[in-house]
Amino acid sequence: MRLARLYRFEAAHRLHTPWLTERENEEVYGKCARVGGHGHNYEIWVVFEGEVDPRTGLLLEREAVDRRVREALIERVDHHNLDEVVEGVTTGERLARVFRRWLEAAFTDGPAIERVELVETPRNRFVA
Amino acid sequence: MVNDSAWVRIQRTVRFSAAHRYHSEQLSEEENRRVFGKCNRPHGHGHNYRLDVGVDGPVDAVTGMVINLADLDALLKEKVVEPLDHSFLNHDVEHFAHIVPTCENLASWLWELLEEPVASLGNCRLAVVRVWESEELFAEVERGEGR
Repeated sequence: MRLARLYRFEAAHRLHTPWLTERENEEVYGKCARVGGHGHNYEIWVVFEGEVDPRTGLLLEREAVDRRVREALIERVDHHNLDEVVEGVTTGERLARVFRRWLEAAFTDGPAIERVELVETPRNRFVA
Repeated sequence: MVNDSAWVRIQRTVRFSAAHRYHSEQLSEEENRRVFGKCNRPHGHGHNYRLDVGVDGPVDAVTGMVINLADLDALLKEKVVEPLDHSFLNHDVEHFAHIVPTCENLASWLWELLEEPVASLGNCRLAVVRVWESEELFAEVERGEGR
């Protein structure tokens, strides 16, 4: 059984890596490399997998899980610049993997995280 | 005829609106309030539910289909939409007389309800059942271990 919950946050970032020259950064990342940065209304699906508690009929208690996701992830990124809170380039691919690790660290005693789906814009989704 | 033996998943969505209340006979009143919060209020509340049903099967060489969607629609209407739409799940669905109609339990029950009838539609099998309680929450049962 899986239970999926959607969370939202707004954050700034800029795609830029010191491993490439300025010219290469511009070629690879295009508008996303512009110096001032830009932002997104991110959405993230957190998909949990586990057994349903027969007494409550729940895989997880909604408020408890929301609180933990807020602490482990949302409060760290909402209205922040992602380049200041995540090490390395903040592509959707990398963010999905990093956020999954943060969430796994917060749910070591709870239901397993089956996947996260980071929605950067309605047109791009990153599953990790 | 075009022989294409690859399996394809076809997914259909139906919607129904229903009321429910989260209250477990196995918990005290205080525990019910703590675990379920607002969802435990005595007179219930409701959702516009969405159900996604995924069916896997080989593509038929003659029809080019896994199953006829009209057959799946008729099945979903008979088994799900007619009985559940504008119902109070705790009172109107026998299965939930003593089982809390959480999103998780609803997904499990719908899997059990649909697995055999879907298989009887043809050379296909139920692959996934996803129940959306809102835009922000769904429960998913997928064929796998034990199913």
